[in-house]
Amino acid sequence: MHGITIQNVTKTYLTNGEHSVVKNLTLEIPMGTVFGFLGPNGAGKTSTIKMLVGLSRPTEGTISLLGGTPDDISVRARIGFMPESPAFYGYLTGKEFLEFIAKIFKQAHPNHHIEEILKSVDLGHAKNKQIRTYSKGMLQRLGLAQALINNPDILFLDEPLDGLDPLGRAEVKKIILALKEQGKTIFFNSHILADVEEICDVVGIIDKGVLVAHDTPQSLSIGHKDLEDAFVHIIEQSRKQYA
Amino acid sequence: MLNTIFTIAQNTFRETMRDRILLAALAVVLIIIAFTLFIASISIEQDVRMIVDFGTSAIYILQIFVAIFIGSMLMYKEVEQKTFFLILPKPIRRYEIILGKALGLTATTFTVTLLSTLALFAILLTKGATLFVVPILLSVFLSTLEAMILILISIVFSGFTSPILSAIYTIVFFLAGHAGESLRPLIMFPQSTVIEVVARGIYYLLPNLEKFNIRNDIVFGDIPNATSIIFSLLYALFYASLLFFVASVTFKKKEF
Amino acid sequence: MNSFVKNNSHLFTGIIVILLLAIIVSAQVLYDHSSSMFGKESFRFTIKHRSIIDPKIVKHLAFGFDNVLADYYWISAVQDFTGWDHKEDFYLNYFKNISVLDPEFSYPYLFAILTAPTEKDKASLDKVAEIAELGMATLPNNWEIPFYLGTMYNMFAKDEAKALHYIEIAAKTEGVPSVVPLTYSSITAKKLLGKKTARELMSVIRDTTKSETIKAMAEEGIVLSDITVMLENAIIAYKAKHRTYPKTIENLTAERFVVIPKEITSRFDIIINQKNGEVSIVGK
Repeated sequence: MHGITIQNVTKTYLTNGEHSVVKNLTLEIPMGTVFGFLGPNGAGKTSTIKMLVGLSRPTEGTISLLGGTPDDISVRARIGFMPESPAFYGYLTGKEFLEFIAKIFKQAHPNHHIEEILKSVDLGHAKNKQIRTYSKGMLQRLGLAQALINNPDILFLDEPLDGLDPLGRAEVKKIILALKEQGKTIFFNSHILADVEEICDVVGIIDKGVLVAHDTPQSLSIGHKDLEDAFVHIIEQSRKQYA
Repeated sequence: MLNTIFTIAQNTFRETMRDRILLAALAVVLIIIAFTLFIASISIEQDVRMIVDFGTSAIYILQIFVAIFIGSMLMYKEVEQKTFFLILPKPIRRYEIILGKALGLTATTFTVTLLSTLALFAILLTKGATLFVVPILLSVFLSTLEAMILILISIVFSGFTSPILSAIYTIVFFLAGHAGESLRPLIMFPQSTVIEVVARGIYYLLPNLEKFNIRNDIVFGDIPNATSIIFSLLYALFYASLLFFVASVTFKKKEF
Repeated sequence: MNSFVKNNSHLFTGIIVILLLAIIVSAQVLYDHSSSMFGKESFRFTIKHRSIIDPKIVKHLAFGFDNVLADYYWISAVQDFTGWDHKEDFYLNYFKNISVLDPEFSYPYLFAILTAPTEKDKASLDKVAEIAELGMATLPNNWEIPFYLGTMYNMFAKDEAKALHYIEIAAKTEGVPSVVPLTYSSITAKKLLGKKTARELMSVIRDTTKSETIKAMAEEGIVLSDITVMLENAIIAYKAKHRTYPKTIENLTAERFVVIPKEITSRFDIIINQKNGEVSIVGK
């Protein structure tokens, strides 16, 4: 089954002169893979994920998801996306927000499903509280919940562990690992390498818009203390090469 | 498609009805409507006219306020606060979002209009002036059509500019839309071809909003005939369709 | 001391606020007292001027709020009438703007016709007539505008030609009450206007109007008309006795030729024309 295919994708912005945030990116991610997309701040991770979910379009190149493109409604019905620091309608409760999302997916009887999802992200106790009262960790979990509401084939997560305390990170990691057990395809951005090493099957490293490494965490770590050490080395080498 | 549009509309309605600025504006208008009783008392036997004029104008100002200021914030808020990031990747077409937002805000406008119109009727009832019910209902119906056009104009602008600029541009359209009386002499007796062309352009291409204004006539018991009302309704629907199309095209191209 | 203040900070805040409010209110009271704002004479203020948008541009600035703007000017005219010194133009400008913004608003035309003409401005009735003409053009079935105008040309300006012209227009208006054409016929048959018919014309206004305010004005007009006739008869008697016209009204009252109610003398100046003995009653 088709997964994610990124073919020679470049994204260029014209503000303050021409500025490419993603340069000639090519990636093939089969279904059932948990793919970690790593890079320093400003490397192009979020720009890539935005193109994958249809929030922006590549200046050059093509993106294929599940045999279609991110613009296809039928494709978007089968993906889930959790943006970095997701923002919600603060006056709605958690349950109301998920009901709103469920309606967009035209779910006929969403209540039972919503209750299950809220329980799975440990928000059952807060479902009737307004979202503006939620903590950072609760917001992240709700972000994950809305991404799962349609039982997606592919899940895009942008910094899902960002800003969480150790307990919060542990909870979200547990959820992602459970999804991995279910065979979900997950594409996730992060710069917390220890977590990536723990969760991901394959890792891609991007720096200044260029893909500089693409392999399993174990392979990349050969000759290095750990993935973090390998990451720093790869980035330094890449910058020397492109300097 | 209808289900999605209705979902967005319902959410927009819920969101805007809870807006404190809107509730404050509604409260102010209700106070003004009550205040018309005092204005009536100092007007020397023109009490019913004062209540009708000031009451319908207060309702109209509320509608314009909702359309221009709440409308300008509608898309901008979602872009700035990034709540759109949760919506756009869902199986929803961008034009469905535009239409849902426009319908939701129109529903909000209709609701606050209904509340303030009922308040006005209550005031008129104290004067025994029940003859104005139908003319006032017609007047607020037509001004709601005008508000719908202004909502779509502010949505068009709020998709790509700040709320302040969006509000300013919408106000310019509003003023131009009511400048027909001033433009007609320039068209009929032009001082130069350039002035005539510009005047005609503004008169015919920008929304001609004065046709939705019957507030000046209802106080004399004059209401437009059915043909006029139907033409106004068709004009509103077609102009709204044009604006919706423009908003959809600009929003479709927008990247985040 | 510091700890006492800290522990009772809300109390001290309240005391300071109340103290400041008391000072502010006292300052306002002293100011009002110094400028007699609430004194007995305070309501006899005179408005020197008002800044009113030119009628030529006011319509272009209405942006759909023509009727409300007209109402605003109407209320302003009503409020400012008491303080108008009968010299400044602003009072008439209110009505000009009303006629431009809402030419079908009929009541202000009538009010302007009855209240705007003033002895202090001889051209005032003609200026009012300009405004009223617009009303007549917009409301061709309104007989009251030309009738009231004709009445004022008769009573105030003593211009018989114009008075007859307007009363004739009123008499020929569709749907006019029968008393109007009857009055017109009566006047033309007798070939006289002037003081005797002034009462008749004012009576028509009093009897046909639905407005209590205009009724009161018409009744006052009738009273003034009767007083004028009474005074002129007294002046004729005075002249017969003294072979000269009385210089002031006091000359008449002192010799009991006439008794004038104080209510009239307090509100009006009575001027006797030394050339022909005609009486003018002018508002103070």
